[in-house]
Amino acid sequence: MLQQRYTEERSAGQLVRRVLSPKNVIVFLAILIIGYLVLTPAIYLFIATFFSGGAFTLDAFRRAYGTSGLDSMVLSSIVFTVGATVLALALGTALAYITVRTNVPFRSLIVATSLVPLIVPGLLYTIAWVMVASPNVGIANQIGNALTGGPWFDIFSMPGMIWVEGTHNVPLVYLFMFVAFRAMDPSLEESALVNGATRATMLRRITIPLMRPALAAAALVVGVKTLGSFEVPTLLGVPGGIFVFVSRIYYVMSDFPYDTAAAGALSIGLVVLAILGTWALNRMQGDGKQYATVTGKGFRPAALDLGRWKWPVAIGVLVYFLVTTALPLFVMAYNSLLPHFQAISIRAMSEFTLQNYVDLFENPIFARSVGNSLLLAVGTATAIMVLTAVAAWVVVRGRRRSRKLVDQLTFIPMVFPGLVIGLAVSFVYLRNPLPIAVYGTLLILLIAYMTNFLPYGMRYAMSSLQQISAELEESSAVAGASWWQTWTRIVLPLMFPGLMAGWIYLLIVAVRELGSSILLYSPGNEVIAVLIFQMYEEGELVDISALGVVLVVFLSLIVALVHKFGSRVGIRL
Amino acid sequence: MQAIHSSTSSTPRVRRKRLRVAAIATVGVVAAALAGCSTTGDGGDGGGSSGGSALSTYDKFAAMSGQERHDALVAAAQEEGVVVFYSTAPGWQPVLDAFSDAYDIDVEVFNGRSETILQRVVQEYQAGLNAVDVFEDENAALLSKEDGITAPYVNDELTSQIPTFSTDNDMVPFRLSVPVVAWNTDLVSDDEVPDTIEGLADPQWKGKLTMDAGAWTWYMAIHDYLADKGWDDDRIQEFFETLVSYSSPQASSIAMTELLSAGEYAAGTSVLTQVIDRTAAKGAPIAWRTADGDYVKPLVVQPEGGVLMANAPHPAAALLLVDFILSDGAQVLHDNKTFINTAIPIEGGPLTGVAEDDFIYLDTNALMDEATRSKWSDAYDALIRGQ
Repeated sequence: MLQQRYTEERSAGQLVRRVLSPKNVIVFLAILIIGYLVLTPAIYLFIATFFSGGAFTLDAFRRAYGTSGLDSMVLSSIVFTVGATVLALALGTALAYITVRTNVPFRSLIVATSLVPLIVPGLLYTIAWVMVASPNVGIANQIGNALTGGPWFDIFSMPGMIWVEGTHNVPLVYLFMFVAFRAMDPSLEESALVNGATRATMLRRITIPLMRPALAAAALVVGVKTLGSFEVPTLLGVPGGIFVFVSRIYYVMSDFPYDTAAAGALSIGLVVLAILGTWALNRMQGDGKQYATVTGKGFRPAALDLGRWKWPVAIGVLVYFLVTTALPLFVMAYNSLLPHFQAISIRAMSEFTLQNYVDLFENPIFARSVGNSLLLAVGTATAIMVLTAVAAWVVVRGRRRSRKLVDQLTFIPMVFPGLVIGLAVSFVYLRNPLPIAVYGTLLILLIAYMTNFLPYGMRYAMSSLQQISAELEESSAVAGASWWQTWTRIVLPLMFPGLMAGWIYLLIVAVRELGSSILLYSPGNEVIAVLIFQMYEEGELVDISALGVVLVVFLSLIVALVHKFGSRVGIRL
Repeated sequence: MQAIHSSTSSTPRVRRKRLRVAAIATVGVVAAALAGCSTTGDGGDGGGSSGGSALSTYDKFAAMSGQERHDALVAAAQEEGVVVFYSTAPGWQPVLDAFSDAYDIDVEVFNGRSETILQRVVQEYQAGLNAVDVFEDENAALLSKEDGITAPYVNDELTSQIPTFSTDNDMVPFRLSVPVVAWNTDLVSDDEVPDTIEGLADPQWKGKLTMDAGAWTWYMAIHDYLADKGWDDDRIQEFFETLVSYSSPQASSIAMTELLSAGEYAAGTSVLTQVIDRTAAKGAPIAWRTADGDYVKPLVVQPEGGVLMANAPHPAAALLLVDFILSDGAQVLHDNKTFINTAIPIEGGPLTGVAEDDFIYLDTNALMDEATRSKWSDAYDALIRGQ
């Protein structure tokens, strides 16, 4: 009798212990937080789209799609998105391969500068290209007019849009591919070469196929980002008479009262496109297991000797950086020294002044917003990478059903414009369900940012975990390690470079975020994007350029520090 | 080299169940959150506890006038100590600073895009949050359409001096937004500047113009102006199609100004005067008036301004701020070279010398009508997109 009760108590205790094991608690908490973040705006938008005055309606779809010229708009969107995505993938992958796997000269310079276009806010990057290639006064076309009597480029065109959007997204692809190439065991490539394959065959049959998960993740992120991008379609598309899908969302959202329902209906159109994309990419990714190249066996990545192609490749890469990084930075720095916006000319240079910088540092909002933005960006990046490390593990190692649930949950926010997330978040926290104050504090921005950028962190975490073979965790378990020990000693350290890449990316995009910030900030809680916005509204492009220069220097320093710290940790692995 | 695939220690069934529990718990939390929302109310009467007290404060001061009103208002406002100002227009900071200095009252400012701020104000009001005192925006009049959210500003001594003041809605005009034809002075000489807007349809402007893709109110006003001249619809449509075919649209007045001063375009059809004047003051080659003070007729005028919130947490300070903006504020704007056209005209303001006959005033009440708004904005959108 006593014995029986003892056994019952023990088994109950065991059950409690098993249910409340670190693994269960951590996974449960992570999914709970992610679900809360994601479903709040999703449910809000769903209700706003399909219900009006308590009754179900599809009227929003009529308002959203019932416009003339929709077919040409959809076609433009597809051409723009596919074009810019393919361009970014090709350039980003090539750069990553060259810097990680070959003995090209100036490697460290390339690695150091590759992230810079990401730091330059989209608005300034686009304006820089207007100054370079606008038909009449763009500097490239001034040269063209002088030499050949006609302009060489027209930035207000579809190729112009694809070029600017594509090159701006190259660093994003680079971050994914850099990590993937680093984690790839080169012995596979060596075997191919030893067996008589040419380098081209090796790239086509071994390298590219092994990179599929990372390529797919990068394609998805860049594709959806391009589909939702705002600066390029507005500043380059509108003057060229090219209208895309997203301009339509902003158009619908730009009249009062907001037609949230129509915006929701348009977002659902994006969801459909995105689901088709995910489906195609998932077919490409397979179950992930065949791509694991980080296994129990050690390897040392060896550099591929480029031979006589060494210098041509080096020159090609340098020219690329001059054009996509140095040129826009130069234009931005040039603008920041002018009293007013003007075309590049010798006359303009005689007017150089530091007044814009003086104004910036005297602006009381500036100091406040730098502190707030930094705090928010670090908080957002850290929180998301912690959450997605766990979620990625559930998706990659989990069974089919759990994988799908978490995968789709973390993907949802990607298709909402920042402004829509902002609306949903403010609606909810004006009627605060949490026991702490949220509305009117920085916390509401943190919540909006976390929701907004969760999918990006998820892609980084997943692509880094997909390359790590489950056999390492199994070996650890066989050797008697607990789940917690396996996680902290095996999984996290191996994922660390990928998580760090994601962290850096999130840090940068969080500093730049505008859509939801502009709705959710409150006096005293300004962020840098709000300042950029205010300056733009005042027509102060030269002041924004000064802020852009300060931002690039500041973020470059942070990224350099993190990179240094990260590579030190990386070496120890 | 492929990894050996074997099942991990945790059984799938248990894990699946836990996931389902997590999912259900999450949905529960979210549903509770959203349900909690609806109890505090979507209701239009959500104005919160101090709603009534703000209205009674407004009533009290509406019944007073002159120095007596002013002294009592200053005392009450200083007791409140702070005023919250939501605005979409740049350039108010000098006025707000001067107000703070004059009365020792802090001003908290929230800046944003027009639609964003409107949305925020409505959301805050519906949730019962008393956050804002004065709301200033080109669409402020629209807000007074929402029942009970705003209150009228009653102070005849000042409003009688505002030519565009109307009691049909609660907006008090603070400033005039005037979109005009602007040109690059390096590319266009004073002799080439046309007398009226119709002159831009001359083939010499082909490929040299830029238009604002969002300027449907300007389109509506010019359309009426041409119709008043006896043009039929076909002729008017043909005129605008010619303008569009000569130009490259831009997404904003700001982008137009920057590219005009850089020399990408020779002239723009509807650029805001204060943006042109501010850029020109920095030395940019851009103008909307010739050396003789001539301009391209007609000038479209849209009054824009502020509203008092019915649930203002600091109603006396709100009233005092509006008084200040309309009176001393005008001079502060002028002295700080903001080039804002004040609603009460002042000596030497940017519109000095413009003949009254050349103004076309936009009817704020007509602009508030949803059918009118969508009719004209859709027509202009189609025109610009060449549909």
